[in-house]
Amino acid sequence: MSELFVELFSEEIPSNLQINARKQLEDLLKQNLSSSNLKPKSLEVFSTPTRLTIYVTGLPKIIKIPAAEIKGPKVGVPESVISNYAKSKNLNVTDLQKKETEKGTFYFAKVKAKEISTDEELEKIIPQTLKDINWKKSMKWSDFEMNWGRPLISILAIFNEGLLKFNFAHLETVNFTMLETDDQIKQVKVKNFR
Amino acid sequence: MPKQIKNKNNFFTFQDVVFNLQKYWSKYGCIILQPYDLEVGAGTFHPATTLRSLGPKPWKAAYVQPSRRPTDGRYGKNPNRLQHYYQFQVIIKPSPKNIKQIYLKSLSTIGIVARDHDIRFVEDDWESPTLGAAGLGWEVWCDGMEITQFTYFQKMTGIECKPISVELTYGLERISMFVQQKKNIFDIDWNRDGVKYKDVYLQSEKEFSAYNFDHANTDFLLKNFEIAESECKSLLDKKLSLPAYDQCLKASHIFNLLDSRGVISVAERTGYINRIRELAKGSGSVWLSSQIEK
Repeated sequence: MSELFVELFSEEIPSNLQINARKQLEDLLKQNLSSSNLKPKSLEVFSTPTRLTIYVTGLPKIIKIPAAEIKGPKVGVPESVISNYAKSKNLNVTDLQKKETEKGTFYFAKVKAKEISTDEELEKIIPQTLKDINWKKSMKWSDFEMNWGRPLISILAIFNEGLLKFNFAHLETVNFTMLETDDQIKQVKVKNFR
Repeated sequence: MPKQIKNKNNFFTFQDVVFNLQKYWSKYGCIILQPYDLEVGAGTFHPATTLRSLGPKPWKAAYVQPSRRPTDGRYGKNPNRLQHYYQFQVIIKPSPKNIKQIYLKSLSTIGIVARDHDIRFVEDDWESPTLGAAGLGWEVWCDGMEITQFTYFQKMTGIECKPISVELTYGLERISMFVQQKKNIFDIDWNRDGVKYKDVYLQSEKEFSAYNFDHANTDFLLKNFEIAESECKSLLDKKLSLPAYDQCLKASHIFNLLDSRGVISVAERTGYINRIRELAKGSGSVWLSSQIEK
């Protein structure tokens, strides 16, 4: 069964911030996966003072997007709006079709069925989800621009035992977890959630 | 001679704690400064922290700072409270990635090995209304006792910090009591020749408590506050940030004395704090301009 495992390792996050971030992360991720036609079998988010962890199972390897006719701007709007709409669907303005509806005549884009790799989609969804967390209280540290509950040190991201590559602010994902022992941090390579 | 002194490796006097922290942070690359020569309420008020945490230039410093809090005096009768005590202060800009581990290693040099103790980082968001400063971080607890404040400054003298500094403030008396297993501050062993904390500071605690609570001339203090405030503003007009900040520190200490003499009402208190904050803001702003211009 497919497995997505993301672990955000930070300095100690106060419990109230941790609980809030964990709940938001779960809700936002559910929404964002659903918007990309991804329906996981299970989705869980855990937290400890130094870790926020996402564990998702049952995601497909490929996302199948069926052919569709997507309603666009109303006929008569400025040309720039129409060309932007066509561009957003990877089409030319001449590819758009005009159709009458109860509310007037609109442009429609015919989008062909396609398949997207889930890895690629997750590499977009997860950083966006992290960005969308609205911390009740957040901070900056060092010379970075990122805001987080407490300094974020590392992001482990694994999908089906392979590294899921994305950047989040100054951090690049890794395939190892950080273990704190007394006054040292050790890196331990990870293949899956277990 | 106390039992612990027999085991030289496991016993740390008050001055050992200071020496070892100085040595550790010096090796790390901090310059070791001396205490600031004015009365301050905490190590954060030393310009090496307040002003140096502003502006783009990297900075690494450590120092001991005697801290005076007149209202905390107890005439030398309370085993845990002093009106004059010591903080060991570390300031690093920008904050290093592994500062938590660097800090935990420093504890092992003063007899606190992390694996032998319950070390906790407990949320403690810090604010100083007089300095117009705020930071996020923790109190560090060792076996249930606070031994350090660990703060990432977000704002200082009303100005956003960029880059962010980390400040570590070790409570030297508390740490010494902990490592020497003493229940009374005055019983702390200052050195290995039998000199105790009370031999150095008990008389001072009695006399300064009497001054702070009973004898400080409040008319003089009120006048001195006005003088310090006026001098600070005049120096700020001349763009002299450091002398101006000295006057701000003087005003702040005078305010603390007036507070301990009980002559400031609740309503007046806010007004005084605002006036000191304005002096701190002005000093920070002039200092920052000087750093950017260079």
